Amino acid sequence: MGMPAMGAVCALGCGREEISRALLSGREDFLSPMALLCREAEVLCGIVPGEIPELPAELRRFSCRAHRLAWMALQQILPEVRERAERLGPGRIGVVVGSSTAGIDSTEAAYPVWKETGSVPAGFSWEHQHEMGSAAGFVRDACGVSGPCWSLTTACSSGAKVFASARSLLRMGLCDVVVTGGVDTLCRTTMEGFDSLQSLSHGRCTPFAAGRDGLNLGEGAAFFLLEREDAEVRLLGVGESSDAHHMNAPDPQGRGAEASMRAALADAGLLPADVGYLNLHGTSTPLNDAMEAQAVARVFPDGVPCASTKPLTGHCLGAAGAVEAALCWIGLAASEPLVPRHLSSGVPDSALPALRMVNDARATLSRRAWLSSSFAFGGSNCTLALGRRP
Amino acid sequence: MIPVLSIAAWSAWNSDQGTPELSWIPSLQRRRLSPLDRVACQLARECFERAAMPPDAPAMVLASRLGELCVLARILESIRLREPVSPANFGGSVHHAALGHLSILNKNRMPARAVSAGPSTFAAGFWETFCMAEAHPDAPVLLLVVEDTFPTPFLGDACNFSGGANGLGILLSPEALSGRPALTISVEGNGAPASPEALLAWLRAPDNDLTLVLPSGALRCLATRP
Repeated sequence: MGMPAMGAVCALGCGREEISRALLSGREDFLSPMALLCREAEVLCGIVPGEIPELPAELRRFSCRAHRLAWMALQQILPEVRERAERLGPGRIGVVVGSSTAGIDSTEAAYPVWKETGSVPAGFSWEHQHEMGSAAGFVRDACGVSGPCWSLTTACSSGAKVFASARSLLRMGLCDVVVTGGVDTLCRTTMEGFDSLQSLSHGRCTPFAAGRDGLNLGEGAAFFLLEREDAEVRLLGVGESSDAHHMNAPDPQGRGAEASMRAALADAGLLPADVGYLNLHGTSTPLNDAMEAQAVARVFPDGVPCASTKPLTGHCLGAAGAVEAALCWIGLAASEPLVPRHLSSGVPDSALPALRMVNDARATLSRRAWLSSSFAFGGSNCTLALGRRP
Repeated sequence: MIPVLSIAAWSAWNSDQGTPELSWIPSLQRRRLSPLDRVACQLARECFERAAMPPDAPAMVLASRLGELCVLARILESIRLREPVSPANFGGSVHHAALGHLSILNKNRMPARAVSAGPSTFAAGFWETFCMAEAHPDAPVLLLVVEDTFPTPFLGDACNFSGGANGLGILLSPEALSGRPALTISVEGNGAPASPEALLAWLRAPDNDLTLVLPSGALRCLATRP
């Protein structure tokens, strides 16, 4: 499957050029402080820099931070979407969007007003802004397409699992093109929620380091065109699994993560030795990194170049799979070597199997196949395999 | 290739029946289940029993328009009052929480996906089910369409559910099962609108196999000769 076009926005910037420059810049200060609500503390978050533009008038009913971020990313691929809609017909273009909270900022503003006055503020539309399906509905209307359209929502694996659904729509001949990806924003619910789990780092997160103390949240959107026609960057495979262990904690041995990576390799017809780079889930919580390091060591006994990009972007939750696929897409499509590098100021945790972290954004790696893993609440796991056309 | 799936079993829960008791689930785990999760667990259990299928066998798809909005409301209330959020509420507020619980209860390690699509959520459940079946051609797929109520003024008129948690579970098998009707999807053809009621009527008295036709957005039923 070809991935001929990609649009993305995250803490690193907006669009392929800005994100590439940020990845190569050597900068380490992409996260900014945000205050928590229920206790007096600030935490570092991957906030999209600059102004988030308002939606055009005809899409204004959808206006909320999530859909505005989605619009920033979508505009980057609209010419390609419109060309295909004209050539193939809008009904042949499907939409599958991953999100865990959609436009929850609208509801966070409207809910207290509703509780206190019995009515919602003017301009609030649950249906167009916060309803989970609105993430896909907005993309469909913004693209002017009319094929099958839905939101896929499995928390932090949402933005990866969408590629499995999109690919099946193409393989079954139900669509000729699918616009797919994910979006999530920083919001009170996830900030206070992860704080209640004591999962937020006190500083910038340090994945796989000794003494790592949790994650930084982030936000972003990334969308791709997926079609049967080949392209420079390809979707090679998707692997999925469930932990069947615990709602809020991963299987400590990483069996679900291992199954997800092995399934992606099998689906793509790859051997571990074919993989040039692995974008880790790497949230920097003690439990995630411990189980993930063990899983990676079992799947890649000879090692694999890998990185967690969470210290650069923050953990974009339901958008993470798509945003990290976008970082891989940028690296795979680049004319010069460009690697979404590992940034961790800490000392590697000696209790974990050692991983071969790529610290140099200009490292020359095989681009035959790159993997990206995303693991979620409820033990929902997904690994993508992307590659560059030989 | 679009898969053709046999209906191995199905089950429905009406909110008139109250909230499922789920006496087979240990009370510690049962306490964490929202009404939506309880309906999903009940439907899954009935489908597995009727089909005599091990509960760790199928991949799972959950379709819900509102998802765990009632759980999310408890978080919103904590935030409104500037009180700490309950970790259990946070974990249980994710749209696919019922799939997580089912996976844990049944030791089911198969892939699972949850979808939502506004008024097309029912249709999206079937689209995703056939996507899942396409990607995992040897696996049965359990589709759960579940919904809970939420005060309408907040949601507006467009999303008027009332009565309590309810749902429909359909366990689909990739093998042709003798005496069981088959289901597939298509982009071409005409038929009656595929409302949940129409589908229930067909499940109760399946004279023919069924093709669910999905032109842009809508879902329609097309009976086809077996």
